[in-house]
Amino acid sequence: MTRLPRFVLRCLLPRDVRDAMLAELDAEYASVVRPSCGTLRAAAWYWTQVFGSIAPALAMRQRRHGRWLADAAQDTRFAVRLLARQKTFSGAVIATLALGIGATTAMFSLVDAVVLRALPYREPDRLIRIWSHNPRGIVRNQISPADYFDWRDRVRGIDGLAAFGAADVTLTSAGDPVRLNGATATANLAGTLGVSPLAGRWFVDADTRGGEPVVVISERLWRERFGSDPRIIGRTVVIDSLQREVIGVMAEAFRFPSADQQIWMPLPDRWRMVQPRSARFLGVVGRLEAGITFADARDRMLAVARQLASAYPDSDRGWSVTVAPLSDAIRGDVRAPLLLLLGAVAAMLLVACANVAGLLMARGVSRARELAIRAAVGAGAGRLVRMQLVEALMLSLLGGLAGLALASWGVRIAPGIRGLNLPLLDRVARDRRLVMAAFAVSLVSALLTGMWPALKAARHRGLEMLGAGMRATGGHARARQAIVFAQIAIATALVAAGSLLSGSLYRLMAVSPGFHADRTLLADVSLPPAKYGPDARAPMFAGLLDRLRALPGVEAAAAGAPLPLSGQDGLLRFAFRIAGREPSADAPRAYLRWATPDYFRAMGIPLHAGRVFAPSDTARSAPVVVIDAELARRYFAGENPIGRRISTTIGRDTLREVVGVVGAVRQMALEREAEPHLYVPETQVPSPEMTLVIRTGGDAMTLLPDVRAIMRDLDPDLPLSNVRPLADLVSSSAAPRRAGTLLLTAFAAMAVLLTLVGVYGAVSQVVAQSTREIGVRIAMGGTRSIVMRLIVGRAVKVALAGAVAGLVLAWAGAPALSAMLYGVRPRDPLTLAGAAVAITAAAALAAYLPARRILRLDVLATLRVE
Amino acid sequence: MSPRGYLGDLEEIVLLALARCEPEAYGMRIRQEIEDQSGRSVAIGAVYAVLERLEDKRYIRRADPPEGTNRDPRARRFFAMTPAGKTAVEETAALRDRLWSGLRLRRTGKTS
Repeated sequence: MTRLPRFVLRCLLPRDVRDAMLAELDAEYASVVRPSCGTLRAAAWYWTQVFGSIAPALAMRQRRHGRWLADAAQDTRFAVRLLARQKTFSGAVIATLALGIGATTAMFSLVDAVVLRALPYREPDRLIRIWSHNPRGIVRNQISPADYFDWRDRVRGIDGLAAFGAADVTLTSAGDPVRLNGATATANLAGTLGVSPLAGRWFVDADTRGGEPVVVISERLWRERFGSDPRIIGRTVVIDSLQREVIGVMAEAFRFPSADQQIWMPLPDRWRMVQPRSARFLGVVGRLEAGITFADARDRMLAVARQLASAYPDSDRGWSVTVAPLSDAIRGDVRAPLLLLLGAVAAMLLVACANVAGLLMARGVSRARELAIRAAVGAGAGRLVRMQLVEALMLSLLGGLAGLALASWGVRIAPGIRGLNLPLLDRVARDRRLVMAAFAVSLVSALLTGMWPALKAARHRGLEMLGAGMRATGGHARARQAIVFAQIAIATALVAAGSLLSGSLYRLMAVSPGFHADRTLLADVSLPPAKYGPDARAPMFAGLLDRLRALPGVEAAAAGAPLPLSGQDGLLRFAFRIAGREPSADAPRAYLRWATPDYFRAMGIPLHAGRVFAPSDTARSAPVVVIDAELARRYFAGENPIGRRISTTIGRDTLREVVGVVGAVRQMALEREAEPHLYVPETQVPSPEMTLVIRTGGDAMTLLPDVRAIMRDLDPDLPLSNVRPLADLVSSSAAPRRAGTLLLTAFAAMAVLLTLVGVYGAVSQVVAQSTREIGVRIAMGGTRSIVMRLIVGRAVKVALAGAVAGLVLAWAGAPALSAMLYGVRPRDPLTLAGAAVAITAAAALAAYLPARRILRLDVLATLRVE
Repeated sequence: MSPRGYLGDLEEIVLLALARCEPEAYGMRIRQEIEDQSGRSVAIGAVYAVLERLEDKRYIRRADPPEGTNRDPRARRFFAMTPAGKTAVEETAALRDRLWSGLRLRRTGKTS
């Protein structure tokens, strides 16, 4: 309760008395006041002490800094009075700045947490991630246990080479059965990363050597499923029908290998022996030993990979390794888009500051008389400059305060935005860093907004301005034009970038994924191997699907795995051989999918030729396979694939007859072209993990309670996980792009709006200040429309110049954008030209509106005033 | 003979309270003494500000901590009244007496 007041006082007190005084205050509070009168009254006492000390603290400061501060305090009071008097003006300025500062601060905190700040591990700079590099150019392939253990034995200079693999599991002993994001990990993983458990311990060698089954759980799981049980260590839980003892709890901040890691199990040493060397499914991290550079480590790893390639040519020939700093591995992909967004938001802040600078200058002109009088009665140029700066500072700080509220809101909702599920995003917090960022951004904007008016004030020449009165000076008009020019340039570049990204998104959403995503429900089912052996799986799924099909409204019920766009791909790419062809070095490869007979109908994948699986395809009937159109195109060009035989390494290398060809499906991502796929019947190659695909006549989600009831009835220990509509897969695939596009477009829109306000303000000012000139022109016989054309024309000329400059910016920045585009060239002339024309047209309109006032001007009255 | 003029109200109070606390005169202790004697709550910052002013006027000086207390330079600071300080309170008191002498008001709280 005393932390906040203490912090405030600490900031206000002069350095030399700060520690002594706070120490006395705290000592009195802790040893005398709190023991004698209770926490609440003691806190009240503390607050009173702090409040009473604020004014003396400022007085003490003032004694040290002398006159300068006293003057500044006076300027501040003056500025506050001025701002309070001009409520509309101040309100507009503060709102503008709040928008710019808030968005910039929020974006900066995001970038800070995700990209800039060190990883939450000990000496994170020395951590590296290692992949295998496959002969076909997949640079970041996973690693087989045998290769990993050999690396660990052979490589020198890399400390604690640790491995981990994804291992989703079902927890049945704590409430409803639940599917959890799990991982297997070696005993040295925690040590390598330099983290220790919140409670209990991490694995030791005995655990991986095959001791008692144990498990480490996350703090969240401990809280949500075990009610933060203080005696969790030593408790037995049932995971995939197997009893395991909880030996440790990892703190919330430990999110490795994935952001939503709930459970870790020991990676058994025996995998080195029992898993084939070609089964690559592990990730590897290591720590550089002291004195070893990153390049050394890479060279040594490459050498080890060469040794293994010659020792195990069957599985490792042509395979190499990729080494990267762990930091790059985790956030390399998001760095560029995030920095682009930060740049966009900073550009928007610039536009906002330009607006405010323009407003301050406009007011500076109308205050010229006041400033002149001040100068005349002895205010030095320095004082006048400072007055302007203090005013800008006050506005920026108030804007910053409002912006901080905005940023704090933005940071709170950010993790919930779909597509913003960035790594390390959990570190974005409403903490002191956010406040400091808002403060720093406010200071920058104060400088940006106050600089120009202050420089003008510096050039004040005392009395001569008194005579000059309200007339705008040429220099002033030029400065305003420069501001508008810059605003339009920035806005044009942002709009161009925004249109390119929106165009990409539009084109991507028009891409057909190869299936029909509507009215279909998905749910993952995972049969624990301990309870369901290979022979028990097919009957289980058959029974389940029969009951689902009987539900009213269900048009098709099927199961398949892995589903397209589900992110569960990657591992299942197999080489196959086509019977009757010579085996070649460049064997054909395809991704493997499991499917039940109705899968293609439920997914809406069209059948091109032959047939799909039938209930007659059983474990005892002839092995069959369905291929997709992409595989047929690539490997059976000009031939009829139906009836041909394919052998895969799956299912004991049996020859499978191709019975059908179905439509190609985009499996990896909407923007990635379809790859060849092989479908095998689930009855012949049993899979423990399948996704139910239930196509309905109406709203698929309404079926969910019935589906759950059937599941519970069949086996109460089986959880349904990842329940979602099929359409979700498509939209999630585009979600990151959509989030980024939306943000950038919003920044661009705000920049445009601010720019138009700026144009409007600048033209209004010109009109207001050149009434005399206009009056004279009209009195001399010029028509109003000519004068108006003159004014609007001048604005359009500036706008055009700005738009051209903006195009140059967009042109130059195009390479940064190209990685984020789909189906649009980064320098697409139509898009760029469109942005420039739109901005210029809008600027012309923004100039026309205030200029129209000229038409209503009473010329003679204006002249009489002078 | 005070070239710096008479003491201000709070200055006098702090100076007298300090004298009463010596040799254990430090900010919080002085604050407590004032509160005990006047029944009025005083903020520690105010005491510090006045002590600083008095030190500038050389009415008080920094004193060594009493035996057996913490000598950490960041810990509490002890003060002692200087002869000039003594003269200043005496003169203020004398001025009061002169002003009171021959005055017929009811002096509350003081019985003579």
